[in-house]
Amino acid sequence: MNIVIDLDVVMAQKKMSLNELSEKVGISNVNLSILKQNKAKAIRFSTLEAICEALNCQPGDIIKYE
Amino acid sequence: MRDLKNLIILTALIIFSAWFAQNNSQLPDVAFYSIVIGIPIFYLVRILLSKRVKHKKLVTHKLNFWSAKRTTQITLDLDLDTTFELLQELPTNMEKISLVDSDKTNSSLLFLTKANWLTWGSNVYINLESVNSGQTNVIIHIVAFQLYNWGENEKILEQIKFALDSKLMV
Repeated sequence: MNIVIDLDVVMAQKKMSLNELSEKVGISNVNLSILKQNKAKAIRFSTLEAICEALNCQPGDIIKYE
Repeated sequence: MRDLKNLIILTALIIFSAWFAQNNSQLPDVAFYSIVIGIPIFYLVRILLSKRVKHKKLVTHKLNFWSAKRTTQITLDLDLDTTFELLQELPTNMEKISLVDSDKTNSSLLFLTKANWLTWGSNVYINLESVNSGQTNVIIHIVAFQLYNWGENEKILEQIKFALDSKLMV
């Protein structure tokens, strides 16, 4: 069982590119890419909040435990 | 700071050479020119060498006794391109380091640490090697242009490791 980041699925649903999300959230493309690849060691509440606001979704839509 | 210090020292060397030339014209030619021209040229070459990633092999070579070196390797669970971009952003997480040269084809980067009145600052050469399953080896050479390093290289290495760790906290 692992924590899985489903950011690419939500991004595809909302038709938002990595660059666009990066601009809205205010973190670099590289950091978002690391998060998307499920390689991040931790995620800040502020980042999660900004992503949820930009994608108009809930944290549970992005982070899953499976 | 480093440029100012280099400029001050280079000016001092030229003034010293000129003063030496005026007062020691009886010296043999070889000794005379090696002091008057050799010292400032050696210093200029040293400055030029320190700012180019392509001179890495010369500077980090184990037989180069003029520099104190510290080498280490870290494996990151990221692909080569992402690691390269991540490292380019490293100065945003570290106050005392700046990126001066990067070569994507050879996957190598050169950072300089800030100089102060106690140290010249160090060159940080980073080479990346792709390994299996999307992992990347990060080989870090920290080179101080002095014969002995008084623990500054270890301090920089710890800072780099900490900054890399912080970059993985999104």
